[in-house]
Amino acid sequence: MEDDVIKVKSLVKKYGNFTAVDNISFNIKKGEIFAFLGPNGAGKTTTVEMLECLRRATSGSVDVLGFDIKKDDFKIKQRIGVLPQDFSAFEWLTVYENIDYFAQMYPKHRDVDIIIKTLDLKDKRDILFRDLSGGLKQRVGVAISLVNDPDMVFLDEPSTGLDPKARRDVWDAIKELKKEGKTVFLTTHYMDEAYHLADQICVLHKGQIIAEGTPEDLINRYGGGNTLIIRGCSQEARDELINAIPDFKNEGSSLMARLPEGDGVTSISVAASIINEGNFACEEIYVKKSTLEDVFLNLTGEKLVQGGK
Amino acid sequence: MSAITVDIKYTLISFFRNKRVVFWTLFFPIILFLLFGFIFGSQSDSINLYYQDNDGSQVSGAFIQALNTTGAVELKNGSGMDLAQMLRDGKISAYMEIPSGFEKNMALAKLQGNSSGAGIQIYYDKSKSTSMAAISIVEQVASGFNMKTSGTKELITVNANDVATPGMNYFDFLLPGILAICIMSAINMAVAVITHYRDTGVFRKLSTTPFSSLKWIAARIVAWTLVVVISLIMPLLLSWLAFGTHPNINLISVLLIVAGTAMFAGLGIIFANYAKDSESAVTAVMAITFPLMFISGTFIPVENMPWFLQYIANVSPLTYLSNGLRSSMITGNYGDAVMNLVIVGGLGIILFCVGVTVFNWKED
Repeated sequence: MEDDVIKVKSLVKKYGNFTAVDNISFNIKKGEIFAFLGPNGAGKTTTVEMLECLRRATSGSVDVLGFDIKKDDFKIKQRIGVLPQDFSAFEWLTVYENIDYFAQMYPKHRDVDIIIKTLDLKDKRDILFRDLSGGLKQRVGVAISLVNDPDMVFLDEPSTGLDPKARRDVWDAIKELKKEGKTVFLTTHYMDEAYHLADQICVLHKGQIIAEGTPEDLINRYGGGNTLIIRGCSQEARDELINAIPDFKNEGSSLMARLPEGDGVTSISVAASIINEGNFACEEIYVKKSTLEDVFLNLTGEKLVQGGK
Repeated sequence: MSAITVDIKYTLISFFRNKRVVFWTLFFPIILFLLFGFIFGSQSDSINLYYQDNDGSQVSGAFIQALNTTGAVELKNGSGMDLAQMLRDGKISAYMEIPSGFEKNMALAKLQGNSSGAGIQIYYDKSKSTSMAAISIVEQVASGFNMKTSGTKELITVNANDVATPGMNYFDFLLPGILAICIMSAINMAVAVITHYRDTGVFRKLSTTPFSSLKWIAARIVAWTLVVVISLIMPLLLSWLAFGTHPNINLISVLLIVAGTAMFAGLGIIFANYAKDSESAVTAVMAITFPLMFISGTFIPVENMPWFLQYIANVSPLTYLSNGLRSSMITGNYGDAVMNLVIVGGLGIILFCVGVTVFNWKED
């Protein structure tokens, strides 16, 4: 398609006998936030770094903004912005100086103070990088990735290791990029990050893309359906409900049922009418949506973040 | 401003803001200078006495034999060596010369009975405490010899000549050694910065910009040289103000400083490139530079060390740097300075080129 800014075809990266990236293909549309979701070691960073012309591909073709990564890496560098994994800027330089340093590496660059304003770093302009909090450090990293006014921004695990408040800050910064019309390639192993930010998600596992689509798409297709939960019911009510909907399972005084896809509304209304007609006292009734975590679990049988969060 | 000047500018700003680093850069050389100056400057080690037997006769041989049996000096045959030059360079503290005709003059003196017979020359450096001990031992052996052969007559006379360069003392000797050690710190700077930037993703970031690794090295070699020069200021000032040393800063010494920085920076780049992580790189560099600091003719002349350490000193690049600086700045032995400059310059070019070739901030 014409508005695809990145076209990847049969990309492979091998280290000896180990295949880090195993024949993947995907496209990214202009102006969207595209996320690679997968656990550590899935091949996310390896793939992104090949797209950034930082690593050499073993085979396959990659087209970034209309340029071939094998031939035109210099032209690509001028038009992409990168926040590498675990990036930390210069400790003894201020926010302004750090951004200015990287800006001056480009023949043409944006005004540093405008970038500082965009990312809401004005108060911190003259603070040394070493004195910033983790979230602000990442925000400076994002700011640095914008110095050359790139069309395409790569953010490799931008919120890893940050506390929830700092992660929200980084997410706001990423949303700001989208507003500016940038195409964003994000890698993450946080499903909520991908869910909140991404227009399009590729789930990566052991070097292969195992699922692809919008967050809602993926959840609908692989989430295993929604779960209907009714809590705090009498024994009487539970017997009636299980009679009507055999999928219900007893969990103490609550009932849980996986709703078949497309049949959600029917089950809910059946349950509601049984409660109403029998005049049973139940504490609450709600439907829990499955998450990308469920998607990953269902697809691979493994948890996305080892040990959970 | 070009990317190179931007890198130099911000590297120096970072350096001056880090007060701890500035403090150690300025004061570590002074601490070394004073510490070693007072430890080694006032203490005598085993006395080496070089000699030249120009007579080669039975009597001169017997005299040397007698000196040797005292066990008080370690005699070293210096025939064929330019002992006068070695003394001027501060490499030895004294040497003895038995002039030709020694045996004949002694026989004549015995026959004619006059006392100003056969002379032995000792040339010494009075700034070195070991030289005085050497003279008194030779004098004692000579008087013993006189007693044995003639009873009381002084057949052998010992003439001691103070010929060392004026004002040459241990601090003069030490200064170039300290300067060389300061220059060697370029290896630590290179290793620390490269491993740090690799860990913090700065190289990964830079490699996605149009800046090239070659330009980065060019910028840093300038910045490192400037930091090295800053670290040289304090020991130079101290030796000039407190110890009356007048180091001669000339083209050769400046070239030695630049070539030495390039040499050690190149070595650092090679180290950092092959080390798995930053800690092992820093440890490996410490393990190598720390012993070299002591045995490379910096604190003690190489000639005064045991033979196996001399062997190591001969392959230590620091030896040539400190000898070159000493010859060019203190003793004014320019022939020796140029020879050392050729070695340091050659090594500098080779190591720096190898470093640049193996250095790559891209990932595999």
